[in-house]
Amino acid sequence: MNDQLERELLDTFDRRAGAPVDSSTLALVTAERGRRLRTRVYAVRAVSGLVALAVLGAAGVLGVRAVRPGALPAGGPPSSTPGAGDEGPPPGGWKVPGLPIARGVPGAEQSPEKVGTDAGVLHFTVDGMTGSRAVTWSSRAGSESIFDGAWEVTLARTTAPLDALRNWRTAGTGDPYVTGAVPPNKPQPEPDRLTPSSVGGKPATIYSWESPDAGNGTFYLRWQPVAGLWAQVFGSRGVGVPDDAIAVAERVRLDTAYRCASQVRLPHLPDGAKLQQCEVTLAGAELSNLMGDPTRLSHSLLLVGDGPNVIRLDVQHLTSGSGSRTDETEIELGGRKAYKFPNHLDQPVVEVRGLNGLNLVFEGSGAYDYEELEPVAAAVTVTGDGRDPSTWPDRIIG
Amino acid sequence: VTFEQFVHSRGAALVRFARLLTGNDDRADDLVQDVLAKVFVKWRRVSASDHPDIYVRKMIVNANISWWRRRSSSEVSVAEPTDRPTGDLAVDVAERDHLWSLVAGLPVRQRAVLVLRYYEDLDDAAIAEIMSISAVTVRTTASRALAALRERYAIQDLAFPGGTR
Repeated sequence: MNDQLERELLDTFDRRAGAPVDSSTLALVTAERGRRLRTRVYAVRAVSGLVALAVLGAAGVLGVRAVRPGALPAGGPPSSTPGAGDEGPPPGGWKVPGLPIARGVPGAEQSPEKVGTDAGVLHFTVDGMTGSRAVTWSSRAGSESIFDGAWEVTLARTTAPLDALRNWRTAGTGDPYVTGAVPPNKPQPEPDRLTPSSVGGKPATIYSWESPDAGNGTFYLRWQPVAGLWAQVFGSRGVGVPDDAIAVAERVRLDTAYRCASQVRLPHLPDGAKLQQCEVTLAGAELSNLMGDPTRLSHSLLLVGDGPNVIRLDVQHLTSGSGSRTDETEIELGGRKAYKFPNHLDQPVVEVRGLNGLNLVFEGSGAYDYEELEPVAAAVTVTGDGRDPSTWPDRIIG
Repeated sequence: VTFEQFVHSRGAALVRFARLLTGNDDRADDLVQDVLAKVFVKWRRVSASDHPDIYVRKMIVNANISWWRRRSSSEVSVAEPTDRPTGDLAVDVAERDHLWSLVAGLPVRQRAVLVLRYYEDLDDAAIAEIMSISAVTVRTTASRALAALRERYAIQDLAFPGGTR
């Protein structure tokens, strides 16, 4: 920094850019827009192909030598996602299926000390979220969340995980998913307005950013539903007013526990590894998987590992992106084709494409290399009806 | 790194970057969503690049420049000076707002270079890659932008000698 003008520029930029950003909603919205865009691209290419064939056919009649038109690009068939990829709800409205009940496991009300201790379980639910386009359930060390694209409800035994989640949602810092080096994000200013409120007769606080540059309509509500447990309702930009957050909070139910279920089961893990995080997103309308079969499983994310050594498994009903990589190697794992390649951080990646209609991406970090990833990917199974979580494996690991 | 992971990780930074490029929060949201939807379609190629983050920023810069071209080729590129209050802390804030109005009035490429240099803290080589220009042109563009700002800031000081700067 050379002079005062440059210092003032930096200060001005920091202040003007600093309002909270909801990365979760941005990911959801842009992935959906991307799928719709890809559908249009494929449709245009398909029509172009047909036109080309017609022209070439006519040319053949005229005795002109025909050239084979290009095939559809790699990366799977076009998305025919009724519902989640479209603008509006299906007839009858969105209806997201629920997760299976975890039999014999008490809810957060009975055992608040269990919250955030088992990544395969959520100890609560929120009534009324099934009428959404999609709902994401996630459980990790220290916290459990349910997010419907507008409101994110989180339980934790202390406020630290809630602060971390808030920072991640508003500033993209402290990302709980990404391993490896990424450029640091700018810090987010603390909320500057605290408004006393209540949820079910218990004291609560609404936190908001009042500064014109930083507010931007983002706020969150915190309270203690039972002793030893904190709850937070985070409102994305433009979803409503604080009273709406209180209404969401009133619908939180702590009497039942649910399994964080996925169609995937991992019979083999590296020594000492266990489930560190489970996240599953179910759609409010039927999607089509890679085989064209109906499914409600939009996405799930499983982190398994031992301390800093982590395998991240992304389970997708469609692949994001088209075209083959030039740096991938085809291999055979468990009698099926798979592909291995490094990501941009030079971490090992193994991809199993189209296993029972799903795309599975295994990514290693820490000490995990291809040697650890390949046996895990070779043993993975995908079972059950994609439309019905109650038919999915009753455990993810083992 | 999947598309969703990338957006979770970098989405906030990209939106902030776009806010400074466009000077308008709503348009920044639209711009980033448009670009990320396109990134989704070709994510394999983007993620295979050495620096996906720079790749996407490049798309945002180009999309913003295209938007300005479409909007008007006769756009007035210099913001009109505005009155500034005098006094204590309020004047500091007002001065920064005033400086922002001057930045927002710069030609779109000059503003982009300043944002990349001072907000993103990138070196000239990285800026050159994002802007698809040479490092020499980056330095020239930045110099011109700073000179324009200094001149307009100085004019304001003459017009409003009670300023605190």
